[in-house]
Amino acid sequence: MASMRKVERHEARTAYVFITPTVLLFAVFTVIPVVMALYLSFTNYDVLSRNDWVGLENYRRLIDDSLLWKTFKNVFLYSIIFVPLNIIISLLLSMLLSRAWRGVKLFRTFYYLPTLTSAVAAATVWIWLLHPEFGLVNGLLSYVGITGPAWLSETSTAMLSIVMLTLWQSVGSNMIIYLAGLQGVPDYLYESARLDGANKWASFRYITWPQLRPTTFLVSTMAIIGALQLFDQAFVLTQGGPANVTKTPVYLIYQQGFNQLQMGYASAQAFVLAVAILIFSLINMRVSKAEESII
Amino acid sequence: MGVTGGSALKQGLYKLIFYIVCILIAVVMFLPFYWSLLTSLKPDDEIFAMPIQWFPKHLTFEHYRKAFSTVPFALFFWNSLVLAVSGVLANLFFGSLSGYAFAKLRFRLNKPVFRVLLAAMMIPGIVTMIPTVYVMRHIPFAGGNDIFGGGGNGLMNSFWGIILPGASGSFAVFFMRQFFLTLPSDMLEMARIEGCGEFKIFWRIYLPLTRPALATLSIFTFQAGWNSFLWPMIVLNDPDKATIQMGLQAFSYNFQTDYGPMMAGALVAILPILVLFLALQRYFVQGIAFSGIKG
Amino acid sequence: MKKGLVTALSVMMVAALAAGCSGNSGQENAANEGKAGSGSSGKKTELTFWGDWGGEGQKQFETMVDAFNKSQDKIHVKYVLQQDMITKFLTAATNGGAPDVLFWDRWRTSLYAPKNVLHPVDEYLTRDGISKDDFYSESLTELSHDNKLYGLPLTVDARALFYNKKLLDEAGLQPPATWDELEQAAAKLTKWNGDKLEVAGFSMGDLGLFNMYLQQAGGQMLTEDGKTNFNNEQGKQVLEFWDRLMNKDKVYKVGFELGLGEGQDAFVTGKVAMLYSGPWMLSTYNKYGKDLEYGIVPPPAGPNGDKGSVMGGFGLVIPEGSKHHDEAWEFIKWWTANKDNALLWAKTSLNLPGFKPSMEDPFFQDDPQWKPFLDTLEFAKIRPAHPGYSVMETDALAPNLQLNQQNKLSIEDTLKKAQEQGDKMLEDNAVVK
Repeated sequence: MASMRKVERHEARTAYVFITPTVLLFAVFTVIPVVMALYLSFTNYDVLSRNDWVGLENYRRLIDDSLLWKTFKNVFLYSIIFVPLNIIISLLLSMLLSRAWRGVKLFRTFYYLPTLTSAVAAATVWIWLLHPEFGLVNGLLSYVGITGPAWLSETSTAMLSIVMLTLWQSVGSNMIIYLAGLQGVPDYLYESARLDGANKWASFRYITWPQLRPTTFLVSTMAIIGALQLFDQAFVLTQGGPANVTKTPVYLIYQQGFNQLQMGYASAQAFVLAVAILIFSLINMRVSKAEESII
Repeated sequence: MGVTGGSALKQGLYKLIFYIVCILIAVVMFLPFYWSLLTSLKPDDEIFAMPIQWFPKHLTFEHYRKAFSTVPFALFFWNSLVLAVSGVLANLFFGSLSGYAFAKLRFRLNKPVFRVLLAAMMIPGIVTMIPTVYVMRHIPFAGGNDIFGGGGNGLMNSFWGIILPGASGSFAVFFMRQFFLTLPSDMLEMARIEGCGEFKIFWRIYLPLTRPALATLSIFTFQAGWNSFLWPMIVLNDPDKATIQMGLQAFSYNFQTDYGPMMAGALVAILPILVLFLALQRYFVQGIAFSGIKG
Repeated sequence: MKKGLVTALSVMMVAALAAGCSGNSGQENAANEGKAGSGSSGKKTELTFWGDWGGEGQKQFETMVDAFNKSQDKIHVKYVLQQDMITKFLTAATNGGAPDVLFWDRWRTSLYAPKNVLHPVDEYLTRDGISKDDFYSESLTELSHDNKLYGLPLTVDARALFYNKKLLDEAGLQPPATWDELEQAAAKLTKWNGDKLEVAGFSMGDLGLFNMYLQQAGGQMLTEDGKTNFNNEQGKQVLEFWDRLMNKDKVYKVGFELGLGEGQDAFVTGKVAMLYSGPWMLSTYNKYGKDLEYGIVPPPAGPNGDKGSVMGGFGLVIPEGSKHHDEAWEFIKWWTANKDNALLWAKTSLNLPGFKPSMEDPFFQDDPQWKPFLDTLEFAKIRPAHPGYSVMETDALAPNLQLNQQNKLSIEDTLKKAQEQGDKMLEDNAVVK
């Protein structure tokens, strides 16, 4: 009993030593600024001249900010489509390319290219692909007799177009996370499953998927954070239009803080967004039962 | 993962479908990249031609010449390389060290600290940016500061101001933790019984097993460091310290963009990431050695 | 207390880093401040000038800076490109890193001036006998707040109507001078192929131009007391005009220019016959449009003969945080309030200078590309100087206009909603000191 304690104490001491550099850097460069920003969300901070305590004023103002809630609705909608598709496609691509066949390395490189392509180039080509009259997508649709919409300019399809672009841009990097994850699945599990006569679906269902659970938790959490903080890609494609359907909370926060110099209010908006992301992540944790298998 | 059974014909058909699917996806992934390549090689008056000319008649290296003469690429390349490589080394080391601690060691603050790290990622960076600048400026003893962090410029206008805040990113910790979780814990116990030191267990036994993950993380952190624009721009004042991404902005002014040279510059700028990606690819297929250990 | 914590943490952190990772390629550049302060070159005052123009724009700035540096031996100016200048300025202004001269998008003045971050120049103006009549009064108003002037205009611009000469000639048309003529010409220039639009007669892509149409209808965006002023007869006239163009004459299709704006400009390629654009596009059109022949006329007048266009442009201002206000003023004065220098700037950068005497030069008066802009500037008005104006326009007005354009909101509801949402944004963003 006593020696067990000793081992545990030794282990804990080691752990604290191991995490010290990370925790110190985190405290200085993240915790302090976050605490400061939290304080600022209770002030009328304008970056330049004033910084007075206003209590809950900013948070009260949030309640009536219909545009803010509209942007929240936009990114929720976006996330609900984007996150699952992102996981499914990345996983499929990684399984497709985890074999050692000729040309696989080349394909991987190609699939990773979108994350490297400059945002402007990507946006330019996608805007062209989605052009109502001259675009490739509507060109193909017209072969089967469908008049395609003006994808980026119509309120009903604009967000869908952004989902397509962001998927295109992010599945490559999640694919290589999954590829790395797949290397960690021990071969003997598959071998013994095969000996037991399991088919492919069964070995995926009972070996690959559970084994990849920590990886999926990583990919899904990062996807949720990224999706709810969507800004750049949406902005280059549609500038938030049409009719505000692609405006996002981070766009508003930036606008409010840096263009309107209402950093106090922007901070309040940001913390509400952070809470929303937290809730989404917790739901995700529950759904994927990630933590359970992890610890 | 391999193909089980089946005749040679079935196998061949399977391969054919595989390659057709892979090539189709590759075309979609490659198209925008190809377009930026074309744009960088087309003379100005053909860039705007409609419809897009996928096979241009004239090619010119003029844009590359212009890009290199407008922007001191060599200097900016070096600056970005220093920043990105430091970021990779620091993140690989600190990230895996604390990721290992969170995944494999028991200590009371394990979950709380890890959750705080995760939660911090959910706060949009734009509202903590100005507080972070304040912190940087008031780091004691740095950049001519006294013990109270006053008097000098702190970490502003120095590379440390970019390297340190990102030296142990929450993403790196999260990423490595998830991969250590997939590794069995019994090796740890065995090694301890054999009297192996804690750091040695981490360094000699576990770390080598996460090579695919380390390779992936290297690509991500390198890319993040290489592509970061806003933070370096805020920290650095000296044009001699500017990074490649700051240089690439040099082709826009007064509502106009010089597409040719910008695309040329952007393409040259992604070469290092591409080279790294190709170089690290072999780690994605390297089989994992520990199947034998458990045996 | 916070400082103590920072101290303690960073001491430990540095120790940990030194122990853990000494292999990092270090780049210690701490004490190397490349800014301000009387520099190495004798008694010259070193000024830092920030702008966000790179590439060609940077060269244009540097041409002027070099000329100034050569013109005297007391002040040396250095141009520093700040790619995201406003963000950088915000982080620097309160942390002691402000530049001495700032290239300034004038409409921001109403937001920044009340915060005391810009240095007023009225005294300098009186001292040096510079007449305000040499500048467009609208452009000075845009640089003023509370009866104080915060800088001088460097460029002025306004939108005018660009038209494709070849297409108009083929259709036997003269460039339009009224809304009616514009509508007729647009209808005639438009070409459909089934349900595919091949040539749009007139660009309706930028609904942000509502302001200038409203002026042409005889209206104004805001009331004197800072409320929206378009939910009325004039606003209705504009939307009805748009409705005719979009739905009756079908001169345009939603999203038509979107993919063509950046990569394959629709005007350059002859897919759009007429559009409102500004002098900043001249060099692009001249550069890419080898086969494009185009003309420019002032914006057509509205039903009652009212003319309207929106004036914009840049200025130079002095941040309050600069230690060299006087020298910074010398530089600004030399550049913006001197006939020859302002003209040199105009010719170098192909911009209309803010200084009126320079525009008397034949370079502008005899050039058919510049003359229409000079005429337009005579009646062009700046955007209202309300700190919440731009958010009102982009986040309240434009979205409702887009719904209207897609026939998802009636004219009455569009104006009503835009008014409600717009008034709220104006109120929320009106700065109370």
